[in-house]
Amino acid sequence: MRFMLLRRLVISALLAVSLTASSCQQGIEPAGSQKQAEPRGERVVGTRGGSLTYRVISPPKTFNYLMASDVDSLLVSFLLIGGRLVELDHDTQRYVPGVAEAWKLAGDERTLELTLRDGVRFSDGHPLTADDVLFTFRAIYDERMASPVFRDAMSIGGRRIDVFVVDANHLRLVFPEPVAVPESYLSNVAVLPRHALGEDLNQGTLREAYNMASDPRRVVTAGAFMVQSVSPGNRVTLERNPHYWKRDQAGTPLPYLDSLVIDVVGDPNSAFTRLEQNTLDIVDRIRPTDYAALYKREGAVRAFDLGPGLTTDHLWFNLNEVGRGGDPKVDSVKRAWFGDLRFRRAVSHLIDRDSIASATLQGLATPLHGFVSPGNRAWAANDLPRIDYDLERGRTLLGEAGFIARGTPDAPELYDAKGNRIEFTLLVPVESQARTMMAAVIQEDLTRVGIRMQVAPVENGELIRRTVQSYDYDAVLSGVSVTEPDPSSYVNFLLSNSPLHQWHPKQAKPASDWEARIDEMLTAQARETDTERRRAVFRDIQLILAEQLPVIPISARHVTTAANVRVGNNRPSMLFPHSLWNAEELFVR
Amino acid sequence: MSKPTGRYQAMNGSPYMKDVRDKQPSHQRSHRGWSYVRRRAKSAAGLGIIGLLYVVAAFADFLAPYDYRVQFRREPLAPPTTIHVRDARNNVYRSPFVYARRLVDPFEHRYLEDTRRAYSVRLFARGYSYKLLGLFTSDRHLFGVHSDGRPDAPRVHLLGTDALGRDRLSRLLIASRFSLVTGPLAALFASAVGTLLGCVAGYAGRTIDTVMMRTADIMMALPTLVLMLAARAAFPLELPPRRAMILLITIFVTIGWAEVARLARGQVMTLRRSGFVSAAEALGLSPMRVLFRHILPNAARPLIVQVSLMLPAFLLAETGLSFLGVGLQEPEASWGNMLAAASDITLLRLHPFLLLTPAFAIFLFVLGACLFSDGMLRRSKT
Repeated sequence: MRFMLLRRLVISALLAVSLTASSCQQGIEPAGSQKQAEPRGERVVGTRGGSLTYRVISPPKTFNYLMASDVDSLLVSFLLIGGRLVELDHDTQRYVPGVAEAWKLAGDERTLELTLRDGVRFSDGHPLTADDVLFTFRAIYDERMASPVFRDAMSIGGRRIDVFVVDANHLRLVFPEPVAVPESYLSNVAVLPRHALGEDLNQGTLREAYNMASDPRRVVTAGAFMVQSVSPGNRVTLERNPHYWKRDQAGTPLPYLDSLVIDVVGDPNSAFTRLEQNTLDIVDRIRPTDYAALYKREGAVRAFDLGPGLTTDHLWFNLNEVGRGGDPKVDSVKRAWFGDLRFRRAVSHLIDRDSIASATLQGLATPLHGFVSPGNRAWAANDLPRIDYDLERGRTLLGEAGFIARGTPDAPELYDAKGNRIEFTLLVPVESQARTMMAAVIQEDLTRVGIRMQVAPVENGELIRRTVQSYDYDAVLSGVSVTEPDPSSYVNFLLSNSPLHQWHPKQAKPASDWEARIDEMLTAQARETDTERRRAVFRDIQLILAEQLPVIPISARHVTTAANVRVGNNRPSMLFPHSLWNAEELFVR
Repeated sequence: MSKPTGRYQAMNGSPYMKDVRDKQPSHQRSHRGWSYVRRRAKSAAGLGIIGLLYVVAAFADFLAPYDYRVQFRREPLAPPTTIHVRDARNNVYRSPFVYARRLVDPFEHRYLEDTRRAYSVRLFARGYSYKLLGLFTSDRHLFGVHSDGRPDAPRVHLLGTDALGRDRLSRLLIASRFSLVTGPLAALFASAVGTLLGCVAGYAGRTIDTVMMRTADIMMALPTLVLMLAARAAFPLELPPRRAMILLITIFVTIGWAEVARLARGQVMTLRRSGFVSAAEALGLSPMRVLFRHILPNAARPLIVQVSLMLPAFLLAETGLSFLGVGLQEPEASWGNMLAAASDITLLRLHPFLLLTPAFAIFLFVLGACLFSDGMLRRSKT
């Protein structure tokens, strides 16, 4: 079973990216129409030179990608300065060769022959060989490193990938079990320089290597950029790696830019103002209001609505068992309501998704009917049953489940058969203005049938603690965020024993038949090499979740970005890292 | 030394004092008279503003045209409704009216009026039910749109709507209740606690004084925001209005008593050496009687000034906490959480006046409190 790179990133995605994303509130889908065409123009040959400034929300904390645990550190240490074996082409959403020129999976679906590109060098001019790749795998699996993201991401059922050097340019990788998409593992490997870090690994000091206080000149990289200077907490300046292997169609060495400045601008107001003042060139995930202010403007700054991203918003109820872990935080009365499928269906029918997407989120969102965003065009099932807003249907389902409406038509009150008033608290990440607004809409929607829902904005850390550790909550409005569209990215969310199985994590054995079935299907799709069959299996998983509604889908917010017109080859993607996925091709007009 | 008040001040009104004032040059007398009028006018204006705001808060349900929690989702971030007296064909109507409108651009929040039908705006219109002053049930509101029972009838939003389509004027009016009760109540409790502890410390002296004042020093040295967040963590996640009010009052009393206590202690220590205190003690009055009957009345004026300065400070603090999400939670309204919408600079550029209406209300209250305290301060100096 595959635990992708963003196991941790998925954590921060579920709970943190959703924050960063939401603190910057993407937003609104204008009644299905995109206001500005996606800037997906043809790739053009650029000119070398110049500098661009990109905004991040929080300062990168390390240049050692194995120690990175937040989005901005991963952006710099892994995606910008890391030379990855395999890369993802965001245009085609397919894996393409990186430092590895070719690879072939043998018939046993476990053994992979890997060929490295000829003549690849690190930023200090040292050749990159198979020994460096082997060294990187050693570093990933080293117990002393305890890489917060990559150790789990590169483990398959808790077991490692064995790596054997065939010669300077060839390796053999043996996976502990058959894999459907070996590229998803290869794309998690950015090759580290053995000559620069070998001693650190041997002495157990690799964790501290390449930190923000390191001499930038000693940070040897194989990616498009290398570190020029660091202003702690404020700015990281990257410069062109003169030995980067990639070239454009005209044969010009990439990257085009002399330097790429990563500026830390936490406040979205400051980011917007600086964008207007042309002191920032690219800002990803701008707020809906910023998009609204920019989308019609003909000035130097252009905003782009890239459509629904892979991040989704959904609501789930606490379906943990009562008295779990010796600490009976789960309320048995409420657990009985939440465990009733008719109650969950009723709640789903009572939420006015269209209104949330079109009005509350200003149209920069798409109503959601499954757990996969429609932005995941390759894998989202299009034939899932729609969950229409239907007050009467909601009332009927509640009645069938034994709930009784009292009070007046203007102020109804809902009770269960034992006379308990139906009320619960919805936790929502305080950092996410979009989700806070959604919660307010849902609150009013549920009031119409007499369900009293309190909204409690909590900090992300507290949200994680309650949902993953103490189970002390009623319901949560959060979502799933993945950085790659492949079904394997959703494994941690779907697998019943995973800590990210939001509604009932870390199950010793599947709590329900349908969860057991999903576990089996996940195993099957992970081994399935035929894309169509994988798609069919993944569709069935989506169908099961749409029927059982352990999470009640609400919306998929759009990814909106803004950039100065002087940024050449600006072809942002709705996948992370949005505008910088082709950083080596960006140039100054 | 402060001038004695109470029974010792009685001589101010005596014929002797009148003689002294009569012997002053006339230009001095007129100057003092003008100064007196100005002081009084300031205090009266301050009290008038504050009083008006409290009247508004008391009758907020009547003044508010709509339920402050109800979302009109077809009208997010709508500008103020245009009230017409002349229709599209130039016909003049007897009563003002509004047209229905629909959202045509969700980004620019542009609405288009449907001029086919006019809906009159009436005084004392029927609307949602509420309890006036908590006593009488009523559904009359100061104004509203006569809808003829049509569910799709337009609404009149004099200050527009917020991002969820809620009437901004109604929220502003209802918000005044929370904001105007929490701050003053906290100031009252903080000053009561601070005065009591300060008086005891100043009068008892020695160990009690040292312990109490060092405690006050510690409280004043603690970072206020950290203290507030720690206090918030002690409360449950759900914060209904009453609990939010208790939370904020607890926070404000915890951080506010120390300053009053220091002032009260200083006053008491100064007055304690006065002749009238020695006289009272020589007559054999108990320490409590000396303290609360003779010393405290003479220290009252500076303390009142301190409290009146604390009022706007606590109101602003409440606003700040609600702004940060620590105070009242949605869908309840306070001036602070309403003002949070103004933190988006792009939105603020589009609707500066509308987003800053809570700030204007806060300004009014602070102005009233400052005028009042200024008047009091000058009185206490003379």
